[in-house]
Amino acid sequence: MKHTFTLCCSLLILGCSREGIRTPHQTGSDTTVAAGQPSRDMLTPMLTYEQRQGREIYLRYCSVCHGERGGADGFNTYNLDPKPHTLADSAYVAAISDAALTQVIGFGGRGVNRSVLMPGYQWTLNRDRISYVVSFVRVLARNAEIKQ
Amino acid sequence: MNKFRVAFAVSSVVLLIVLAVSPLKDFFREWKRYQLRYDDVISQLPQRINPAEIGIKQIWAQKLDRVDRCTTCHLGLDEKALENAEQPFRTHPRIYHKVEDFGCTVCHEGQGSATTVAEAHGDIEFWDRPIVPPGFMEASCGKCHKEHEVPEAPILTLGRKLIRESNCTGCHKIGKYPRQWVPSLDGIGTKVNRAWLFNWLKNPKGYFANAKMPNFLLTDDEANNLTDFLLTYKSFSNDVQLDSLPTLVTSVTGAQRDKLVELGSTRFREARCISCHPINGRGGYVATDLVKVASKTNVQWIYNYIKNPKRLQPGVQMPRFGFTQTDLAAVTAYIESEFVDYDMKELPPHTPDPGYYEKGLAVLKKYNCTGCHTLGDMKKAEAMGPELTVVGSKSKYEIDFGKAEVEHSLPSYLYAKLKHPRVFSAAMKMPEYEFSDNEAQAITVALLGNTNENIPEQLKIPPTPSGTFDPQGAFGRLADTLACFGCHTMFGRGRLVATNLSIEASQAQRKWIEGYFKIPYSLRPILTERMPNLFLSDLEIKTIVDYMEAVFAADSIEREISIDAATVAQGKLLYYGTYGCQGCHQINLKGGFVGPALDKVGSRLKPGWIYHWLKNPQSFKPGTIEPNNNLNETEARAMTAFLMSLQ
Repeated sequence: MKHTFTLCCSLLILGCSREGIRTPHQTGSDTTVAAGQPSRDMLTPMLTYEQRQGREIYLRYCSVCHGERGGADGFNTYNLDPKPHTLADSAYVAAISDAALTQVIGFGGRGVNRSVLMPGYQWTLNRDRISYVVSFVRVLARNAEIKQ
Repeated sequence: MNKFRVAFAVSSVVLLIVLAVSPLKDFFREWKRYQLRYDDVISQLPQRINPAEIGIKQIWAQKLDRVDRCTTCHLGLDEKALENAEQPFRTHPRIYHKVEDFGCTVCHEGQGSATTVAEAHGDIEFWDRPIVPPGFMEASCGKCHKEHEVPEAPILTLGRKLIRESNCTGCHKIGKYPRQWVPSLDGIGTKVNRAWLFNWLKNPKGYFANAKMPNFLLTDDEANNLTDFLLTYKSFSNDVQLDSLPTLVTSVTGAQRDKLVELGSTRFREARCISCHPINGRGGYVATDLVKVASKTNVQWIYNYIKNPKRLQPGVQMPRFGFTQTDLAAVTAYIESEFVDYDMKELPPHTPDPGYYEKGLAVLKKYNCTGCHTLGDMKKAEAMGPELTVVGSKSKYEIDFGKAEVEHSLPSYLYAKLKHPRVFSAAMKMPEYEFSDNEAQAITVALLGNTNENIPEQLKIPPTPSGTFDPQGAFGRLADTLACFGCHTMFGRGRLVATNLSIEASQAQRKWIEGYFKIPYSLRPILTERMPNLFLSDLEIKTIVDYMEAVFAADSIEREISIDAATVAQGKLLYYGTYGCQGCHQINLKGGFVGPALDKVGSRLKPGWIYHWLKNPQSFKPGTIEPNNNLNETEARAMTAFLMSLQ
């Protein structure tokens, strides 16, 4: 009798738990790719929303001096003295906290006792937009690291 | 008796079990495990985060009439510390919309009220709107943001731009997307030669890589019949007759001819033809590539076209340059001798099919050529592809996937269709655009955003209606022949290839504008699209500038600024020392060239405009890279004085 009861209970429990914990929804990542089907690799490099926003802002406002990939090789770099610092140097960028990066972008070189040639964007970009740029600058540093 | 007891015992146990089913089922809910797991995850973090309260959580997005229970498992949406946590606990990226007001499914799709992983994400049969796959997320922005450009959604913006540029509306009706201007085919029989037309119809991108016309994958027979059919259209619309070539082009030879060609080359450069026409891919993007044009087009046509573009192609945005007769002949001779296609494929001798006219007409009708082009009195065909106004709401069962090996979902269908238009059935007629992966993705995103969802009016952001500014009189006629709206915007009408002219007369000084028409030197050396020299007469310039001063002005920004030595010195200090303007602007060849050079800016701009621009550049030109430095009154005045002193 007792055994029957335990058996019934455990059957019930098994019946209730349909699946274990799983990370939901991984569309596109591990499905096989057939002709003409979008896969993760084919899409715009998978950045987070914030990083993508940051990339657009960075390309518009920063890349003329800091370079498209952060290598301090934008077309305007050669007119500047002192030269802008490379952002593709992961050790250098990693040593700067988010708060400090936000400060540089917001107040410009003048605000942190560096070159006045870098303008501050706190009156042009709002706080969210500056934080997007910060997260994209981290991507630049990471990409440079992967390349090495 | 004993039997009865056993039966009683068994039924009691059964009853007990039946009664236990409901609480047990509730106890083992899938989401409960996630909530317990969340407590495990946060206990491993150094920060203290409030543990999850066990229970279903939901957001009622009242305005959108949605109830979303996603936050039952997605517990860390607001917790900054969970940025790199495992899903479903990761922080949501910062966006402009409050999750409490908008809920989740309006953007992410899925089934908001479901409480199991599979059902909520829509991975089940008969749920047509599963979670938006990665890379297509911006489609949902398009539901409310009907504006063409959404700066926060670059993929969507690119997709919309591509839809407009590729002129998808030639065949598909897509909401309010306008049709682009496409050259008329009238007189094509007198304009181009047979070999070119055949090769072009077979593969436009083989002629030049940026060809706008897609490849219709015609068979040789189809292309031959269509070519022969089109070549019968020898007369231009409105009974226009071509002027005969001047003797200068036809009869002059030897050294004299070389001299003529050289003059033509000079005029060609002075007129800055490459601002709009690329040559072998280099130059502007507004007009067609000229690299092989002399092997495509009849010289007489080229001569007539340069002489008066709108006579042969009504509606084309090419200015009529003020060339003299000699200049015209010279430019024609230059184009004739310079832009030759030495590798053009010769066609084998060809005898037209006896029924080429009917067959060619059938090909033209089949592929809806008149959807984009006008030809004779043939009516522009009504959209003949499926309407795409609400394609984002298409259900899976409505789509015919054929035998193509494509994931059965709407995004995959659209993407595959754009990449390989005939993949689902060879009988389809959509031409091949050779979109890159990113372009196909962007267009898919833009199309997916066209849904028939019921969005309350107050949340919709409609597109700004384009302006209807239509100048009349002498200026109006000049603006039309010079195709000013082809590059400039005036009061919301036109394109933004070049400056918005709406307040130009309050920005620049009269004398400078007049000089600029004579020699349109480049203010920003990095630009490719430069103002052409239109070779205007003094009277024409006067007409234009008079009109500009009367209309293109903003009295509110006119202002007197006193320019004394002390203020100028203060401004100079601010310019070089405090704000580092030399990083982007050049004075005396020193400084960067992101912005225009500021030499002699004092004789170019008006002080009031400089003052207001310095205070808030974005109010004049949204998205300009010049930062707003939040200058105070004194600073702005001092810097204006300094700039005005640069005469």
